[in-house]
Amino acid sequence: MTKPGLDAAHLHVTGQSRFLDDLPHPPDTLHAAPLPAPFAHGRLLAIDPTPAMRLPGVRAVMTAADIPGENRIGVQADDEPLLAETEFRYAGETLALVVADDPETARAGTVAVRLDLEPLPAELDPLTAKAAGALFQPPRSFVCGDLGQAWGECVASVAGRVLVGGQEHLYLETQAALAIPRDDGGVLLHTATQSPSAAQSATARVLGLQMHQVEVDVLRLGGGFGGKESQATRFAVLAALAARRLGRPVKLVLRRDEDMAQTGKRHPYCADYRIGLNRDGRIHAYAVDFYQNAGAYTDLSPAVLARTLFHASNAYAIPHLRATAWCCRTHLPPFTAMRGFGAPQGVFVLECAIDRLARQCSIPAETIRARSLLAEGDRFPFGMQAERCRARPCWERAREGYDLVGWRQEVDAFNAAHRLEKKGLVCLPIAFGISFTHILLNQGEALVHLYRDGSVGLSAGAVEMGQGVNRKLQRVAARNLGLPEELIRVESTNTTRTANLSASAASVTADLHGHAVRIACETLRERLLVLAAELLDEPPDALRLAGGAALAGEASPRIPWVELLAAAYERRIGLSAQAHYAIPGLFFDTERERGHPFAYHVYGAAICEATLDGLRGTYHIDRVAVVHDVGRSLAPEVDRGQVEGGILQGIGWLTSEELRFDDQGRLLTRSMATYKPPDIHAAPEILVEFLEDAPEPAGLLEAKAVGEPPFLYGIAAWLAVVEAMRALQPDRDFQLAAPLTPERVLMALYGGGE
Amino acid sequence: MQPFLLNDEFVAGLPQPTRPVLAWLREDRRLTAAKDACREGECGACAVLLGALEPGGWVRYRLVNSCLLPLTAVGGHHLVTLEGVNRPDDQLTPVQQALVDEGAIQCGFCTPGVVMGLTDWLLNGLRFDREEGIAALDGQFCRCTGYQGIKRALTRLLPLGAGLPPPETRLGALIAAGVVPGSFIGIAERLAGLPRPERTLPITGGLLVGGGTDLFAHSWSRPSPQRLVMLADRPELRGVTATAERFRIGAATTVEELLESPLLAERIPHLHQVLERFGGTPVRDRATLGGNLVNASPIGDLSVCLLALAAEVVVDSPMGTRQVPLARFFLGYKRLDLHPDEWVAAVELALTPGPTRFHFEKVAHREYLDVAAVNSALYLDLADGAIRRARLSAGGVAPTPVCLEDTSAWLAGRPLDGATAWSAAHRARQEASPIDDVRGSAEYKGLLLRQLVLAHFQALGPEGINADWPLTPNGGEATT
Repeated sequence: MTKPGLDAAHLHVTGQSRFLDDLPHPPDTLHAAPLPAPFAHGRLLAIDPTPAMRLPGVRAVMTAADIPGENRIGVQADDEPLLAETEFRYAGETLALVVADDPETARAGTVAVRLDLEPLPAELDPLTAKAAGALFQPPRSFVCGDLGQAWGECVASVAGRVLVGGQEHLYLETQAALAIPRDDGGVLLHTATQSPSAAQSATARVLGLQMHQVEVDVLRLGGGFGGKESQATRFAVLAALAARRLGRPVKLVLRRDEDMAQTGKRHPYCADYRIGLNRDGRIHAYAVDFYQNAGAYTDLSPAVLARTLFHASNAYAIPHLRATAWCCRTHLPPFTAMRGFGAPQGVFVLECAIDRLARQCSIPAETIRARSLLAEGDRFPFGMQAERCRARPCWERAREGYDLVGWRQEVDAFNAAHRLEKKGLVCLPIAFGISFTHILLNQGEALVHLYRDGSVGLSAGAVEMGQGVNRKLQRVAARNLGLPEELIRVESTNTTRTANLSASAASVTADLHGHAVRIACETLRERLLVLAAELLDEPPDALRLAGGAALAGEASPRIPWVELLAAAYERRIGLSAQAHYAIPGLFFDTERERGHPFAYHVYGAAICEATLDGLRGTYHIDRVAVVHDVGRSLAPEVDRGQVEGGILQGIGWLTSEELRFDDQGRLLTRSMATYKPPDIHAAPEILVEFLEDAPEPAGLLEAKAVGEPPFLYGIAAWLAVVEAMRALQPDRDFQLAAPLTPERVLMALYGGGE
Repeated sequence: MQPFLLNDEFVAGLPQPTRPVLAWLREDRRLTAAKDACREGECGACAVLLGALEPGGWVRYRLVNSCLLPLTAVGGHHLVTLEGVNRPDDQLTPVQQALVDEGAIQCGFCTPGVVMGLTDWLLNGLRFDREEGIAALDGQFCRCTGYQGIKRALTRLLPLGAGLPPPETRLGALIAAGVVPGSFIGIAERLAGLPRPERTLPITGGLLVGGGTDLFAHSWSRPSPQRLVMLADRPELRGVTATAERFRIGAATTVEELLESPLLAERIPHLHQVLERFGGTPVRDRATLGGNLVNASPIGDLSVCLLALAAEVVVDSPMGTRQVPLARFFLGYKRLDLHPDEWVAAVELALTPGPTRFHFEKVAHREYLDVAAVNSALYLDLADGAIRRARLSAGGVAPTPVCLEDTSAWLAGRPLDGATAWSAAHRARQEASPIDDVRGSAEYKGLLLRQLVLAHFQALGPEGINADWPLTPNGGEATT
């Protein structure tokens, strides 16, 4: 057999893997740079391109007037233009596009364009936006039990407000697209997007084309984390617009500061809560209002907000609950999908509430958490029952496996021995629902070709962005066809091979497209086994594909794979199969806010230790130890990496990663010099154990989705630092915001006074 | 510009010496392993190795960020990209194999930089423990993995590293282990054969640049001058020398070279520790002392240290030499006592005999590779348990790094105890005048300065000095 292709890890580690900016582009390619709005809100009175056009090398300055089709790129609503028309609503919104011979000249062009702008009042705060009625949709509420009566049954309750900041995705590859015009007026669009079909349909709409005239091809992404779900569309369409108008290939790659300033991020939230405890030490009642800062356009905010509601009760059974969510319109970049998709904010608010409730009642938060854990058959506030609930097994396993009792003794001993340094130790459970909450999105697609030399080409609607989905798809195909994995090549994601795709998002990509791959492979296997049965003179159901052959048993005669394919080809048996998969059993009634929106839940528990430097107000997250439920892992090496990476992103969100905007809505922290995610020194030791004996029948080959749930463990780090602060100043009732920067810690410890 | 070697190839006659190396590699040479991800030396995805011929006839490689490196700085050097580290037979190097096997790769965008960082570690590492490996990657940012797989991979390289001879005689062993290709063996000779440009004084004819780490930060399109004069190429501006009373550091000495100086480690050991937290490895490998001072950041870590150490700046020009106390070198925000025809040649420090009482503190959003909200240094001259003389400096509390003269003067003659520390901390807070900015609010910076002064005393004073410091909001302090 000939030499197999090199796998992705080999390509990455030798620098041969191509990302969009590495693709060889045609020699006549032009380069585009967007011209961003310089402040948050204003009228666009005029754009004078003349000074830019005088620069040598500038080829065009495009505005909304150059759009042949509709000037609309929104996914959930029609409010977002590609290029501003008469008004702009956030600093960084694209006012025009400058196209030039090289990127730096295009950038110089954006500075040279003369703008006539009239400032309008800018609203940056979600609470005042809500008060002014600036909402993208009416408020939505999940209700269960009887809250009115429940408060009277509580032995204690506490109310408060939680502020939690947004988060920059900081995918290492910035937004990028390369559009190549076609002979028939169409466009071939290479773009770094999590949502090829969104880029395709928006391009068709803006250019006045039919979707089949736009081919979107995605090889791989240098990270996405949700930031390339809806937000990649703008830059893909801009490149396509310029390519179509100028008849030349056009490339657009954002510089880091441009990317940070012009794209949306995780939503900042404000929340008001009241939480009550019953005499058994369980959470009895919880009322919460979430005020989501959605930014200037709808983007995915209502969907993100829905997931906040779905996760408002985390891994707990809360008998009486009301969660209301407000989608507030402000003049900041449209906040968007990011790993966890609203769930982290919902869980964080509840965990802050539990933390303060515990302090008020002088019982350990851990006790409230343990007593309130979901059990089999308990209902979530939206009516779905917890099935194959693994909340308690993960919790107990974490406590025992990591010797929480002994660990706590060590922490207590440390705290007794140190005056200015204190440690905090927190145990936190999580639950995360798997499926798109917008039910129609839960469908996937795959196309499998068997080539006559025995190699297999596999196309699916999944975009590889580092989450390892290609490895899982390859594994599914290999197992179903009884082949070594090297024979399976996972192709780029391409809208001509797979169509009408949901974004690679919601942790569910491997599930959706993996099942489609499985079905396609089963179809091919069935065809081949019928043939093999004839050739081997055995009944088809006695045969299987294994070890690169069709066979009945280890000792019986077999037909090698390549011979089987040759025989099939001779008999004119189709060697390609396409398949579609839809997650069964999902429904949701948005009138009653009840239903079964998830295929299953992922559970887990984390223990986190942090050390506070009570003199300087700094801290270090020392160790995070988790027991995580991945079902029967399909690729443990991939899943481990997803858990580890998710945890550190979660920690970063609530600790060092701070978005700062000025009063004009301009992002101040627009570079890696001022926006600080954890580096190798800041990363704690992370211990990961997968819960054993936990196969998930609704999962992919009994495995569970893994991308987003571990992000929630980062919340334990925030809680652990607060716990350490409390060890330093036991009499204080801290009400802290996130991220918990050294500034917030020191000011809370010694600043201002109360 | 001067010819150089790119991987295995001789390169000469480039027309754009002021262009960033990364742009040239990716656009002109189609070598795309080095990634364009931040353009400010914060992520290391563009890291390459830059080899220079050492006096002993061996080639010393440094990890540098190619996004910040002007092409002219490569002249006379061996520039190595990941393409030049790869083995010709499609097998993986031990570094690459460890990263693959330990699940250190997710999206892959940072991976080439990580490979270069670990290769640099195997070229230059000394202790080969886990901490050294982590420090070797302090300039590499990864958003996907949580660094766990990367740490597992570097742990796996420890036995290989432990068996290596010293860096200057290490190349053969590294080639045998497959860490770098065999073509590295002839590089020293080929570099020795490159023409050397004549370097004369005065230094004129273009923009004077130390390591260049601040030249391209944020923008490649900023108009750059026709000619850059790279001071790092001038041996007379480099190195650490000392007499019994004075210490002299050449302005073009890189931070990494300072770290490697046994003189510095012995005489001012704490400064050595400070420098380990200065930037990431690829920045330390280029950034120079002179460049750091001339950049005139109000919050420069080195400036703040040197202020407390009463450094003097040696300024040269065609007319001669003059010395300026560092405190008077900074005139205002980004304004210096330095004329256009002058250059910083060195920094000199007076050293009192015996171990120095010197301490530096810094707090930023992140402990490593971040700009401080406030930094501060304290130098104490002690006699009989009392403070004879003190110099307290701070950054982030004024338009320039400053000496807090009043507090310093007040300290003279006081006992070294908790009460003195507490009062000094209050005085420093009163004396400083920070402003609100992206690094923090003025109120926070004032409070932080107070705490950092306490931290100085905790480090320099006797055990238990902190016993009476109140641990409550506004404890012991009148609300301002």
